[in-house]
Amino acid sequence: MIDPNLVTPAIITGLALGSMYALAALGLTLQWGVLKVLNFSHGAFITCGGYIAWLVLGASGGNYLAALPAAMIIPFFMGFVLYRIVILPLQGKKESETNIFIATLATGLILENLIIIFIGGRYKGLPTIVPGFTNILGTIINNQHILLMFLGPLCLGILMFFLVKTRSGMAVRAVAQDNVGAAIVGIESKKVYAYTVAIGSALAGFAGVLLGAYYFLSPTMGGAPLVTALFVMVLGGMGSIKGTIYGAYIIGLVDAFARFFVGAFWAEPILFVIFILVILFRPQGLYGVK
Amino acid sequence: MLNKKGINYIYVAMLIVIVVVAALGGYYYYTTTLPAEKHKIKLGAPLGFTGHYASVAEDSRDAINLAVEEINYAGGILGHEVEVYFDDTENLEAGKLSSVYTKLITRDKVDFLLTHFGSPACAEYDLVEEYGIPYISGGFIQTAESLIGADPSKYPHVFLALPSYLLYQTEFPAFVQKLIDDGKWEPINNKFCVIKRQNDYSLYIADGQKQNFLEMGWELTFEELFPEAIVEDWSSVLAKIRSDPPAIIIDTMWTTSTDALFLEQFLADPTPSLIYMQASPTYPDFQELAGSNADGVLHVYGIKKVSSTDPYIIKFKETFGRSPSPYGIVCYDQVYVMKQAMERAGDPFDYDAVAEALMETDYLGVLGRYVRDTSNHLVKGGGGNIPFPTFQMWDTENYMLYPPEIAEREFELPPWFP
Repeated sequence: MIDPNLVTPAIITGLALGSMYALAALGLTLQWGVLKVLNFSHGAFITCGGYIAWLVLGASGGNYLAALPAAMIIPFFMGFVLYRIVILPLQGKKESETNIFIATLATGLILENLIIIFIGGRYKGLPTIVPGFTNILGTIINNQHILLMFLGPLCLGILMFFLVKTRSGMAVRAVAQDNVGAAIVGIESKKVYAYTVAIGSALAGFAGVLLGAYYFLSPTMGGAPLVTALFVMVLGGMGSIKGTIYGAYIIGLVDAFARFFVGAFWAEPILFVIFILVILFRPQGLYGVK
Repeated sequence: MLNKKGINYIYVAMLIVIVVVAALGGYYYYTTTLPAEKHKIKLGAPLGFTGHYASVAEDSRDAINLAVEEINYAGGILGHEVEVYFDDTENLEAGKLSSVYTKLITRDKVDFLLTHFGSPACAEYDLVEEYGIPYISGGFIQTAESLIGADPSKYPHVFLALPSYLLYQTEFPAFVQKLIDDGKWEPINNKFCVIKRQNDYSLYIADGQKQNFLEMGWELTFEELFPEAIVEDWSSVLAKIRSDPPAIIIDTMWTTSTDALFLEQFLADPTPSLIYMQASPTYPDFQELAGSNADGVLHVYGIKKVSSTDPYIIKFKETFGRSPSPYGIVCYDQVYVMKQAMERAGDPFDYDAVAEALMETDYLGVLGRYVRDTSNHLVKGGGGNIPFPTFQMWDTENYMLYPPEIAEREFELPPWFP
């Protein structure tokens, strides 16, 4: 029996979860869309973003204006290194997709273990960016959650603007569509690839700060967002930014309604059923290309 | 001038001297160094250094090191120095535990295994028995109790550091009844809800408490089962709590970050409900993460609080600059339980004899008296043995409320009550 009092909280929770999932999936979608590689170190980059913010906040007396840029800039350069050392040597080679998947997975494990060695395995807390709670239509919602609800679509919008309206973004799209054709008109595909991985990593770092401020930091905190991001990508269509938006909010709402009306235990199985159905009946996802 | 033959004699003589010196050196090294090295007692300590139990593992590691240092300083065990081999069991998944235990047993060749928590399903027991290594574990007593209790002869080398968890099911409902009887708390209704996760420990305690409350005439508003330890959003549960506020919220999720997040989100719009949280309040990182949000939270724990004037507490604070967690104290005590058993066995490397001696454990440690229950290899609880107090948290400190003989302060309504 559905309790009508719980419908509004379920919708608001679903939208908040959707924003979180979109943030987690954004960088990964961009990288798949351009390079056609699944970067399995994406979760570790989310973790790194959170920990970089934690370190900078500690050093700067809790200044998010210093922590947030640092949590994006450092992963941005780490993304360059990742492309140069891990992805580029394997790109275009035999079995490159599988090898890059394994190599990035290993990179993620190395990053997680470096955090364990140098910072430790204990949970860490980031100070709340926007403290307090707000009552929306009778539902008490954390202001941090509201921030995520705004920042998720905002980031997607900025990314769309970058890809559609700027010359660099057009170059990225050109390489994504046809790297040979792009090379003919003078676009250096390797440079575009490197920048794409770097931007994706910076977005992961950004997501890490926001998720870390909402939950708590742990060396393995990137694992769950990575899995959700894959869900979102498959549902929305691999590499489609538009699909990522729809996928994230559909999964967020399904997740929330399952938790509210069926029980938390069944939320994941329901998502897995959707995942299997998508793979069976629409493997290209909502907005993916067959 | 020496001829060629003479030079050859000199070479041969030099060679003989080198061989003799090398042989004497080798003999000296073998007789002085090697036996001591060879006969070090290797203590394997698989602990969850990363993941949910990291803070507990750090304390357990430090406590084990402290005990081992003391033992070695005092001459070791029967003249043998103790050396510890730590390894990371992460979040205690059975597969991870299996590989870590196998590595400790087969590669590091440990003589004894000691941990704060093994696998929730006790999956490592068969592995330990396969190699016949004496083993003491500090967690998941309910599974161990049913597993070993069914056939103790199947697990002659496996022992537990704590008493039966049955008291977790009964102590809190009894405490609540006592609060009502003594007029210290007037519940808003006779309703309660249960939040638990798919884990033997969590289910055992949640289902046991639920059964006891139902038998006492309480009404269950809802129970929520989570598949995982980590919950990142409590909206659905809190909406149910707020739509029909229960007088008692029983949370046996037993994960520090999850429980700290629950309190943070609950306090945005609290209901006048008592909150019981299983185990998390005893973890150092919960105290850091939840801070004052946890003021007033209740819990029952199978380990009493040790006085700050206890020599162990003082020494731990001096050495590591912080207070030890109860889990560390259990591990500290268990290193001495191991020592007692090895000394009684007369040979630390006779694993069967050590296991037989463990069966007769009677050791007065920091936490209390450890006496073995031979029917299930646990230690005996209650009475003069290991107590099961009810605690309430204030200012990140846990205070014993019950039983009266060890109570440190009176129950107070949590600050979120109107």
